[in-house]
Amino acid sequence: MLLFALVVSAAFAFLSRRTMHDRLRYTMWSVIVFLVAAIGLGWLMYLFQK
Amino acid sequence: MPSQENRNPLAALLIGILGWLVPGSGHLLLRQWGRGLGVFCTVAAMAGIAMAVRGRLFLLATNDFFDLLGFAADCGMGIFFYIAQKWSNGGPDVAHAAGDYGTRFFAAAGVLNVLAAVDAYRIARGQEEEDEGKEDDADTPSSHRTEHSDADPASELQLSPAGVPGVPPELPAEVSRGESIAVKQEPPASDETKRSTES
Repeated sequence: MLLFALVVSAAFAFLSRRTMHDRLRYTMWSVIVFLVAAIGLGWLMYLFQK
Repeated sequence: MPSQENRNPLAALLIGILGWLVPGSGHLLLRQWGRGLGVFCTVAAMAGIAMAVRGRLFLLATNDFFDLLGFAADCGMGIFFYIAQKWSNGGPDVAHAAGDYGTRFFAAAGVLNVLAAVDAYRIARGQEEEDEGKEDDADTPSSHRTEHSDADPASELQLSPAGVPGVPPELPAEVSRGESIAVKQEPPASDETKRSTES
């Protein structure tokens, strides 16, 4: 999951940002959002388990 | 920066198609080296990981709607779709989680490559520059005023400290709004200093 988040975030960063510094910042921010969303949704689904 | 010649719709379409066929090539043709290499490396990395963990590659020979969606996503990889078909690693490993991840990596690589191809097309058409211009105007509406507000209006106008009574100071040909307000405030200050000296 971490690898997926890292690669997808890097792709988004290269497409949406111009400078390397902005790309790195965006990649880090995007990875964090990916992980938080994935873990959060996982716990949310846990609430609805049988 | 794309030149004016690249705003030809047909050339932009060709750049988009080439960008889909070979990931990153559209941006490289537009001389955006960072984006082109970044797109190529990320799409290649995802396709390589998917091939290494034996993900499933969807083919056109299917009647299932979701398999067709998977085929459409995998096709987005361009030349990596062909390479993955020829890659023999024991077939797809759908019995394990790694193989399932590989299937998702294939689809994500395809979708990202299509996104990059569309981005290359938009850059070639000049649409990205227009969007960035609109974002700059929305984010910093006073960006033009900061050039004038940072400078001291009085020093910009080079007014003499005492001035000549009854004679308005000569203004330069182009005066911004901020400078004109400062000029208007000058005469009352000189009258007040006169009254204070007289009293």
